[in-house]
Amino acid sequence: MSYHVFVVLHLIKKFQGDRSIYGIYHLLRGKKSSQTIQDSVLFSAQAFFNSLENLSRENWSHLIRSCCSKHLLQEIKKDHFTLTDKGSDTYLMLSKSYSIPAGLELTDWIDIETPFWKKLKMIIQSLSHMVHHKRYYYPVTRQDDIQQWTKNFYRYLKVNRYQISKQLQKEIKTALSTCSDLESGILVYQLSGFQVNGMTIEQLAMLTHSSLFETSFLFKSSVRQLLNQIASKPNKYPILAKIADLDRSASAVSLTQSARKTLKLINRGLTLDQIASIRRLTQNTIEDHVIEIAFQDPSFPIDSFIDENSYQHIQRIIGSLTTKRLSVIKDACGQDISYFMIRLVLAKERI
Amino acid sequence: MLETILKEKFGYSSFRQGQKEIIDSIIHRRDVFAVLPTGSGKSICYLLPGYVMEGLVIIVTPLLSLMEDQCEQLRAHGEKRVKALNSFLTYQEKERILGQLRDLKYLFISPEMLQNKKLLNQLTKIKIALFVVDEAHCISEWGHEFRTDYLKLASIRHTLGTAPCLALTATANDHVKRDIIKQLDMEQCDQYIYPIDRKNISIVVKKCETIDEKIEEAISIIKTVHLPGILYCGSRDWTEQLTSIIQIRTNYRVAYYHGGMTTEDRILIQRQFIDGELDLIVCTNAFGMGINKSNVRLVMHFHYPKHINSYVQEIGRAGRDGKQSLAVLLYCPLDDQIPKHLIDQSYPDDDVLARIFSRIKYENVKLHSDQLLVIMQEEGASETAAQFLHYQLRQFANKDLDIEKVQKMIKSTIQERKQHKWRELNEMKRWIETKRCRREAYLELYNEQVIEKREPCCDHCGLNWDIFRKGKREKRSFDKMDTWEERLQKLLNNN
Ligand SMILES: [Zn+2]
Repeated sequence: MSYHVFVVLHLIKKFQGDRSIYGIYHLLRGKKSSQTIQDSVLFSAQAFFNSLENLSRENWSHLIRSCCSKHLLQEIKKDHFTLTDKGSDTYLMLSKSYSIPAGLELTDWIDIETPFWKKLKMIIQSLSHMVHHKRYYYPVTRQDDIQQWTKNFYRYLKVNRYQISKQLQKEIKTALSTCSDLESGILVYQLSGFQVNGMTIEQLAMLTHSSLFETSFLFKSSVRQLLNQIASKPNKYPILAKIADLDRSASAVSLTQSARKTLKLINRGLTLDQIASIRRLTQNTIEDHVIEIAFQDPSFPIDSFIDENSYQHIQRIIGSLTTKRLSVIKDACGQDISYFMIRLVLAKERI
Repeated sequence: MLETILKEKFGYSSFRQGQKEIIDSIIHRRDVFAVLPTGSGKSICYLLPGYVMEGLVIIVTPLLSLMEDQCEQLRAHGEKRVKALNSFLTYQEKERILGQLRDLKYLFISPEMLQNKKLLNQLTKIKIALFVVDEAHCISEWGHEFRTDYLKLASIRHTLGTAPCLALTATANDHVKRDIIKQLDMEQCDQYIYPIDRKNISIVVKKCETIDEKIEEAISIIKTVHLPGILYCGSRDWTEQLTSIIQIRTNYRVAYYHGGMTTEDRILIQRQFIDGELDLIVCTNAFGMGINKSNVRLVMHFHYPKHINSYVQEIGRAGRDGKQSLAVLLYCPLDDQIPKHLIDQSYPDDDVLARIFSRIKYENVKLHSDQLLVIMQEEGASETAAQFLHYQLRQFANKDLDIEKVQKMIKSTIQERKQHKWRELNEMKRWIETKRCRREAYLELYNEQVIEKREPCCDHCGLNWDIFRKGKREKRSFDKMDTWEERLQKLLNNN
């Protein structure tokens, strides 16, 4: 429980009441929305993006409530919290015994970590059965696209399954070398294969006498280290690199599907109004896309959305304020500046 | 000839009770209603005809997990022409399956998916060999309230042509049977009903005064009797709580299972249980259908089910290998709150109903409009209650009735359904309270009699716990763990 409290305090401290606890919740769940992706950078909380994929809304709000009842947090407005003095003290104390695993910070491949992990699990399971001469088994995932992908995988690799299996074992061992034994164990023990069933994160947490959050973080930390290793020396890890498919993921800047469609239409010279009506989406949604694109792609031109003067005006105001809360910035900027313009500047400046 | 297929495709050398008769009827294009006890190879009854009859076998299945299990089981036998269609698939996945329909032999599908116009349109273009409704008691149990799409199966079946219909279940009393036959419009069907009595399962009910006492009782039973076991609870919360209590108090390998977990975690836990890596699984009623595990020694109920049918169904998961097994139901007076609450929640109460109707009236909402669902929930109806009401209202759309009259009629339908649920619940409770032989008492509800009484029968006939007591050696503790390198070696190396 106290690791959970440590994590809550850590995050609330980071966001200083500028985002609601549900904004933070989306971040932890790795929600692919423009707002969440942008927030994670604004508040330097990328490490936590997608770090607790299966966290339920109830558990999260329950946790917040219990921290409140211990007077560690105070609600400054609906669903927005900051640390109390007691909370800050508790946080300092907890930081002595707990930490966030360093590997969590390796966020370069954050968008593909979940598909990569699913594919890896499927490949290991199928290889394990193949080398034990078993054709049929119950797949660990029922996701059709992952199953389909696994089938195709073997078609491209011409070497035989024993060689692949041996090579993959070697690659995993080497690639995990930067991980602690605990991290490697948490990763490997989730894998299933012939006469071996993987364990759930929760079971592993119990087995290692740690909290669920810590075990999830250690797991993410190990996957991220693995991907980092693969990306730094793809030639050393031919099979893992194939599974991760880094080339393809890199070219597709991490835009959401919907934002990508909007980008296409912008490039064809349509106005945001026109795009909204063609796509039957609200103007707000389209603006979200523009923010996302501006944020992800530094070369994206924004002069059709905001003029030079307004840009500099907003920039100055942001510089003079300590908060990143939009409503405060808006008040300071005055009537003529829209929320959209402010968010655009924030995105462009990557603050 | 049928035997040859049975051997070739499924690896069995002879049919089990009922299978051959049922298959024979189907092949002769008769509609069939069949009650086959759990563990008697129900699926063979629709899988085998697939190899004899031309066209696609459609299997309507209530639970997502069940559907996928059946699919994987078939694939594990080497049958590739099988897919599962349900609303949890992505749009692309659904589209892909729609494009493949012609090449499939078996299609598992949820009743909700079967409402899809595009799919229906595709299905009318291909030949359907057989229309199967598996776990057909769900029609009666769930159909009237929250899975109202079950009630539309008959019309869908007729749209798809004249393929015979097979309704299968492990338990159905007379009322449920008539309901199924009526809802599927198969009054002329052949009926095959086989005894549901499972002689090798001893039945015990234990009364406790408080919840704490019940927890103590559960733990002491788990510590004494043979496992593996299944422990059924009335809610997700309880499965998690009990699991952690049992983990602290015993050294058994325990895990929980419920519908709120991710599919991948559910698959892992299920496989661990089937492969003997867990001693006890603590679960909601989401666990069990379609699980093939023959050596379950104990089924315990921490909360009693709403319906005796579910109870019989759930204890039937013990002792499929024919060996002596035990079913224990723990009861304390507070338990009565759970099913009461569940029943009340399934229907809109009078106030909510009145508010909804006044909005329909003043906003002039069409009775078949989907906007109604939003209005209902805004006015405080639970999701199940809203679905129920939505379905009921549709029945009156285009009928040009006075709205007040409709309100009255729906109110009385709710009364009827509630009373029916209460009757079922009371039946369950009467059985818990009975002073007679428990086996006789429940079989009577299915018009069955105890043919030969076998020791140990039930707590009222008297039973000696020693038979269930395990020896000292069965005591479990965690195996020594491999290092991660060793584990990886085990997975990927065959030396
Ligand atoms: Zn008896």
